[in-house]
Amino acid sequence: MEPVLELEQVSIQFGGLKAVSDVDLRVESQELVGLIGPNGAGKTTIFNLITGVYEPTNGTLRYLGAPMHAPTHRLAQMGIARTFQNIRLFGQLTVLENVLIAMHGHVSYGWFDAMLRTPRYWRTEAAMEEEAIALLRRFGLETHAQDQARNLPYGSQRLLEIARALAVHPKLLLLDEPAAGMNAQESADLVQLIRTVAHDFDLAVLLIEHDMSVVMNLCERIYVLDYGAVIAQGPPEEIRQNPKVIEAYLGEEAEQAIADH
Amino acid sequence: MATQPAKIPARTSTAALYPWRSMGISILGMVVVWGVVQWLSQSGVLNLFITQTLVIMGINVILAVSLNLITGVTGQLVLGHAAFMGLGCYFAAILTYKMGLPFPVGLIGGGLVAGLGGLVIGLPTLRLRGDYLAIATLGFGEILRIVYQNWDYVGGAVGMSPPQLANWTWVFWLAVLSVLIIWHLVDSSHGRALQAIRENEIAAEAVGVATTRHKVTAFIIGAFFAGIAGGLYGFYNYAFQPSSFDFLHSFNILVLVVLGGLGSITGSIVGAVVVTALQAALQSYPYIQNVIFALLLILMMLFRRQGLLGRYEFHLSMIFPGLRREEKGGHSDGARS
Repeated sequence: MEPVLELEQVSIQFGGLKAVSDVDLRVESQELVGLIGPNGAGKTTIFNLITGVYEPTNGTLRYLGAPMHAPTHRLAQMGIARTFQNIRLFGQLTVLENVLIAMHGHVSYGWFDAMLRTPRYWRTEAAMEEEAIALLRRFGLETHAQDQARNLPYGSQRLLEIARALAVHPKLLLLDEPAAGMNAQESADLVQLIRTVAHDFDLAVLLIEHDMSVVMNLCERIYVLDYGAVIAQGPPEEIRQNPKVIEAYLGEEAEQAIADH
Repeated sequence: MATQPAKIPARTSTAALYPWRSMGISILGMVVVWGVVQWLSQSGVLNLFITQTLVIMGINVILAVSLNLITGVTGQLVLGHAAFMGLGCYFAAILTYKMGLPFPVGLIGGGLVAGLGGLVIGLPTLRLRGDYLAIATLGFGEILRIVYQNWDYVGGAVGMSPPQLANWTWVFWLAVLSVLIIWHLVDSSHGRALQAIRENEIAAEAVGVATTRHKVTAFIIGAFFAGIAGGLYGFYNYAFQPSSFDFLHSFNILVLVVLGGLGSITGSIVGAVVVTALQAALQSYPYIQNVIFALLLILMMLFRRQGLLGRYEFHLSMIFPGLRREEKGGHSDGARS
């Protein structure tokens, strides 16, 4: 079976700065993979490379075995969905609309169907709404369906971002710090949620996270990034004990945190 | 995770009912409004000035709603909407007045040329954001104005004087049709995608919305209807000049949209109606007129920045609750399970 995502010697340079250098990374189908590293290590840049926001200076990216050369929205339609570190919801639109918009890439009626309200329009709209409500129900957001997204509490906004990403019908889900700003209980719930969702939707997940308990609990494999390069990779217990990781990146505080955990 | 069924009635349950009853009442209302005005103006109860005002109102409704699609819904600030109107006006006149084609053909032709103008200006400039796009569209309008001025075939600076082929009936029903089409568009998956672009372009792209293509399409459709409005304008007024479609006119259309509420279709209608009526009422005091408008804008920005209707839509169901399509569920604080 081909890996869902494969990065081969990928580098990107901004002016004189090499933000990502010679990164090899793969995510197998149904695998939960973590991407950790200090601030500015190039984690989000890798997400932007995978989603086609940036073109790599060197190296190749493959999605389901095929090289990726498409604009961001095409990649999304092909099944690469993401959430954002700084939440990017459609704030003035309703929670339901946020999810519906993510289904737009698959919508089967055209501009003229919409203008003339053909039977196809009504049928598609009804089916979309049904699917969106089902998705919201899964995240406990259905009672907020008609609320403006910007009025949701912070934790719910993060959940809505994930729900919206799932509405894209992804095969690969990229989560950028999904647990940021959550307390311990919320993080633990989130881990459980991501695990069941990944299983039920048959997803490969690549996750950036600073909360070590989330990464260690959730991920089957972890890549550690520093100064744009992969300095270690392996299962959580190996990463936890890797002296290079602990010394070069995690520092004493994190060492303590991992030991406590 | 919640397992109990959601309390939100799906749109499907009432969808079958909604369009017919609501549409029936709407169409009936439209026919009554059209018929009453038509009858009153023909029997001389409404003088020419009032009839003219009502026609201009209808043209302004088309202009405001079409600009709202681009600026209010899609969030692309445009300062050259009158340029699209001018394209429609000039080419409708060329097709009908110069080439002798029937008026409806000229009107649609003018709209199509304006739509083409939207494509031509949209493709290179829609990568620009906010103020930069505004300046680019402003430049587009000025270029067209100078082209007309130096094009003898269309009368140069004097402009053209086509016969009066448009009337209340044309304007009213085309305004109704424009509003209906644009409203349907906004309330569809494509319209939601346009709003997503306004709300957060990066996120829209990331969830699969082809942002550039959607923006250009919004431009083309908005420009098309502006072109139709332009054709009506030219063939109602007996005369038009290049300066009829200058920056000031673009700005005035934007005022209608902002006053009514960016993003609200009914707001644009209200904005167009209120401003046109006010302009007509103050016709005899041109100096005061400008002062009052300036004041109105300042007060509006101070106390009601979202416009008369904000982003809200007025719907028949607010008068006739029986038509309600869906309960506005939610709003239950802390009811998350």
